[in-house]
Amino acid sequence: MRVRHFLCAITSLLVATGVGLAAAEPTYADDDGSTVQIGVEWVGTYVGTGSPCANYGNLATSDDCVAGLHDIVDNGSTNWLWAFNWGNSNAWELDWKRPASGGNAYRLADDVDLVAFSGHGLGNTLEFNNQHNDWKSTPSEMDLGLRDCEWALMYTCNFLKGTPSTFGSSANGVHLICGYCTDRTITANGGEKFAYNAQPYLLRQAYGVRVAWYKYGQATQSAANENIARTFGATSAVNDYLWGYGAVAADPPAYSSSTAGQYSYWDTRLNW
Amino acid sequence: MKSNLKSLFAAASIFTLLLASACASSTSQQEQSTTSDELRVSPLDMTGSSGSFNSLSVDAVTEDLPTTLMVYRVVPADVQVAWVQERAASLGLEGRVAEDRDRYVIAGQDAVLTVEKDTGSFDYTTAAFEAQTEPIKNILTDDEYRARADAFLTETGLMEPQAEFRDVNHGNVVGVYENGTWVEHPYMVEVRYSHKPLDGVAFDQGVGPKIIVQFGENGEILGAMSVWRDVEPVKDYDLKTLDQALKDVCAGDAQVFGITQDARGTVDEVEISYINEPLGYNQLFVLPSYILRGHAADGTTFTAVCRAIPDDQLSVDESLSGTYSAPLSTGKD
Repeated sequence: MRVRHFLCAITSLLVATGVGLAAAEPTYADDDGSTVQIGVEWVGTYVGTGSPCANYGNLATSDDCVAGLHDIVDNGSTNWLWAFNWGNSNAWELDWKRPASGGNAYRLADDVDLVAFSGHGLGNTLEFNNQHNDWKSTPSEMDLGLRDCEWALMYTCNFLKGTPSTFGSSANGVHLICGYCTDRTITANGGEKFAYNAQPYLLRQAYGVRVAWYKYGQATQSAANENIARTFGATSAVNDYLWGYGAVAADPPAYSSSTAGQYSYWDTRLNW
Repeated sequence: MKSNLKSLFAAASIFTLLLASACASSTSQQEQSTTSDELRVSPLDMTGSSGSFNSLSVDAVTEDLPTTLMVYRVVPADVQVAWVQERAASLGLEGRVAEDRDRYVIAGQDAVLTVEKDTGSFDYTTAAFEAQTEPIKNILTDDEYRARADAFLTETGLMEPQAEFRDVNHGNVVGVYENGTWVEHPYMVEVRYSHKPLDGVAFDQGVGPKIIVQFGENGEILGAMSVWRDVEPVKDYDLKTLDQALKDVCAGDAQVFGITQDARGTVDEVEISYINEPLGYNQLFVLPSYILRGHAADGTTFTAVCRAIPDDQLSVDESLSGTYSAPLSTGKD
């Protein structure tokens, strides 16, 4: 909590000095975690692992893509910490699975404020190259936000394909899940571009998480094929900023058919 | 006679020296030319669900495909502070221009303008941009959006001479739950411009090039941005054959969208386009690529983007797309 109070002070200072665009409300920490952390997982090697994705090929830039998020930690004006960075055979499906189903998300994917994945995704899945305990993670096995996670960045294809009726079950208190409802390309600078936009830069104030995702998509994604970036989450959290840079909404209720009216998604069409 | 022989020998020696000198000069120029013609490119980015083909056939008209095409060099933008100040003033932004190695930034109370030094690509964002999250109630006609975007870019000096109108994008939608079902409404309309063809060949199938003007309620301009690189011709290069491109796609040496694995694909349309890379990549050359669109046996459609310059003409350099590192975790349990 103390860390977040410090972050509030930083935000208030930025607002008071009128720096940049869209002076933000002070940040008020919630109580689902005691520190402000990022955790990332990535898979670059699929070929030869026995993964059902082996024939989809390797992704040479998966590690670079999420490593660029470390820029948020490097920014000395806030206290973001780098909680974990598991790659290839150390990135597990269990890390994303809800504890009630025997998973470890309570101490990994859901134990950080910002979590990211980079790798293959075949349609509402995160694809791994090992079986701990499964090759893939699906929304119905996740409970993001149950413990801590506010924002998830899915640098993979199709995780948000369909409607929230398909992928909404992954949200149990998470504010926003940023991903794609189509194919997309894994660029080396995916994380760096998001971090650049989500933080202040020279005279510019930070952009919110959704806007940072929009701008990252516009800067990196190909127009050759249908390519739609999507942010899904609580309508109240649409303009959440990363901790330390602006207002953050209260944790929303878990997504369900009865709370669906409190959720929305925002699409950006990146192809012609 | 001796004197004549001496003269002849001297003349021959001078001729030999001149010839040797000319050859040396020619060799030197050739080496220089070879060096300058080396096409350093970044690795091809892959899609997050890159499919693979078991076989790929063509059912499209291909006899008109070129066998050689110009390769273009990216011309670094020459953006000066005064240029930024001039554009900023036309946007109502005044004050100090901050800069670092990569960008210029000027910010006002309600808007900010950022300009990339390497490419001249810009991002103009207003406070209203972030606030625009709900369905637009009053949508204008496409002609009206275009007229407003044309005027805005022209008056602010942000229009590129090589840009041309592409479309009015209504695909930025917000999905809301209404009466038990998910319904989509536009929350932002974009007027988009692409690059004019380069000597008749499209230049629009990569990350742009593009200029976008974003609109909110009642046609209010929320912002504008570009991903742009100016180019100049280098020289003509032989292209790989379409057959070779098909082999490369099957071997995974291509960017593939929308396909499953081990698919049997049929190419219905073959196009060639120059490709612009992501902003932030140090793109040195703009190369032509085959754009292959088709369908698989199961009916799904695909797009494959395969570089048209033979691999032996390319020098792939990972540093051009940037490498990023972060502490790795150890001791997984």
